Amino acid sequence: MDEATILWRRIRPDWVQYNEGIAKIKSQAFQNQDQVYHAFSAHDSEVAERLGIVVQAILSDFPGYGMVSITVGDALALNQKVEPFSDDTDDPTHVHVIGKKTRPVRRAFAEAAKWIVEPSSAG
Amino acid sequence: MKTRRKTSSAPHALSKRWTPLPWCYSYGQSSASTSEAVVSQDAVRSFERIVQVAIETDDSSGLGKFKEIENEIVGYSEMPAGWDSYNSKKVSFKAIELATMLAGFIFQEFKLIPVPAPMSSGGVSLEYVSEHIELEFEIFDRSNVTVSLLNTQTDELIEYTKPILDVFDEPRVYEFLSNDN
Repeated sequence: MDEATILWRRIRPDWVQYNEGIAKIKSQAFQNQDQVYHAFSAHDSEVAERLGIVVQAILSDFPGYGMVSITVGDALALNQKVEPFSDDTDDPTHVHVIGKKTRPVRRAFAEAAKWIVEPSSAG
Repeated sequence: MKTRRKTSSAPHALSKRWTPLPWCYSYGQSSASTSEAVVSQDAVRSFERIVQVAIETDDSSGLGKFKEIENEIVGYSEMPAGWDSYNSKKVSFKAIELATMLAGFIFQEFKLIPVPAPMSSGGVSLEYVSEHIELEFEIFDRSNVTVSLLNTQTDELIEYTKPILDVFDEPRVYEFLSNDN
């Protein structure tokens, strides 16, 4: 996977802190999901674009959620691996960002992430 | 160790005062011992002081903000499994109870209010952030709390996982909390 490849990740409103109207992502948005995969999930934007899947489609079942982008390079720089999550046969864009997520790692992801869609409070 | 406030308190004393409320013991596999029951009575009185101290000092805005955060944490119990949209676990009742107790204790001792967040793994995170130091408690259950203390200037990280009763054993945690008022 190329370092420039953009990954998308849905962000629940609980993971956002507002300071003077600016949405700041909490580092917990980049915590590993469990101790099985040691990973958080994201979506490969190149695969999505090839399949004609747009951001709005990935968000469509999750009203109020936001979407951020990071790059594969961001993950590699933090000693993480990015691999397609082949167990998810329903979503070919699904990838795992694998590796230990210490606080500095999560913080760096939160700082690197760029908003594509900000969450709404209705979520 | 120098502190700007609460100079009469030492880390060891803080650890001794920190006792989660009795209902957290109900999740243990064995029933509470006599000594635990005695400690729990102290804990009840300690908790009652949280409200009392806040009222006596007329710190209504601080208490109001704390209650808001406490309600936010309690609200995590209403989120179903998969709430993060990526197969997350339901936030456990244990984690919610312990997080509100720990936040309450720190509010009582230091008048600090955390930034909470639910965790995909089913826990609750409490963050206390100053200009250069970030303290985080990741609370899963009473025997499993990960504490991270990060100096963002030097990138020095102290990280350990302990039972909730022992989270204040690291002196620098106390030092940060007492200096960050």
